[in-house]
Amino acid sequence: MGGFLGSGKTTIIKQLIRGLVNDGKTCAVIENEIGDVGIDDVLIGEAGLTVTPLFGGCVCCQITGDLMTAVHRIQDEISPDWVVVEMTGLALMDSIRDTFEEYGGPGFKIHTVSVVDMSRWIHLMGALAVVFDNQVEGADVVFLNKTDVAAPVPETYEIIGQKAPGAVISCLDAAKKEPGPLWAELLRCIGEHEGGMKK
Amino acid sequence: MNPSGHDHDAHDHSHDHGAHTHGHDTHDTHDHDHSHDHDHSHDAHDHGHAHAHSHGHSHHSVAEEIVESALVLSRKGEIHFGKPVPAEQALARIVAGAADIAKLVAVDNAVLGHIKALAEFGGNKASISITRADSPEVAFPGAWDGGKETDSCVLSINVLSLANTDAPVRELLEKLFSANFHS
Repeated sequence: MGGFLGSGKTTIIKQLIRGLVNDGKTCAVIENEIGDVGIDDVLIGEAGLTVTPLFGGCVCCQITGDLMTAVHRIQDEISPDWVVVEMTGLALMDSIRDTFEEYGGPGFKIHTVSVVDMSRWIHLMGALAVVFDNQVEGADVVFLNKTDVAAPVPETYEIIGQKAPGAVISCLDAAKKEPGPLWAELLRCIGEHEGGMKK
Repeated sequence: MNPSGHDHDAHDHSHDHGAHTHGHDTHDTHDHDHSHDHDHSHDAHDHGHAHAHSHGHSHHSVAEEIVESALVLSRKGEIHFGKPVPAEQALARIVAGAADIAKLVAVDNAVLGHIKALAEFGGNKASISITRADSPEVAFPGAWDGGKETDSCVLSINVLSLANTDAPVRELLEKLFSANFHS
């Protein structure tokens, strides 16, 4: 799961995991923190999960080896149904997909989700446009977050659709951010994306 | 396993005005932070440093260049209040301090990055998240007893910004970690 700094990835992941676990699935989380001080891994760990933190760099290139080592170790030791990787807020989506496709091994199924912070949409379209483009391109699913602060308009969907053709865009309102509905929504979006890819 | 083209043991210390690249390994050779690293008045866990994020690609896109010039400042240390104070009072002061940092790096009130922190007052924990300088968000990961008195807390804070990367954030962080309720 990627998306700009402060877009709400950690909060969404916490809720997703609750929904996933309530659905009887198992999960491991890899937290990539660009700073050297762990915060997100503590917040997710408070939910009772085992978290593997990766500090001090970005999994899309700086510590890619550490990421794949962690993923393979988790596979070997726990073999969970899902491995959730929270990327840093500066990670570029395509690099992650390339890494998993190259080093993940057979049987790896990757789903990329980008979280877009609607409360800073104007800035994402302005000063941060090139960064935003790289964080949305390559996403299978785009979650529009903080829509209580700034609701998306038709243009939002057009712009994201141009930058991430084929991505399924989902507007997260308060109801959809409850664990069960959020997990169901993610599965729906993944299914819709896969259905679109097969056409 | 080492993906080709990514030697994550290498150190890149190229230094540019307002932008610093840094490998993910040791920090003590980063000359920009030398004085801070040797400041023994700070808690043993204190390791504040400012550096940008190096993608290490041979071809730099505009996005990568913007990302590589980011301000990334991390610090974890103990704040001593000088006297026992209710946790909620101490937290308010910490939130105000973090908001001051946000105002330094914000553009039109929006932080083009993220200020996030975790304050631990014994068993009491509070997380702070700031993406808009005028509205810091505080959440409590577990049970919270704001009335419980404490004379110190452990604060972990990450300051990440793509704008105003030359802002004197370090000075404000120093002030935050020097919080004293006698003054």
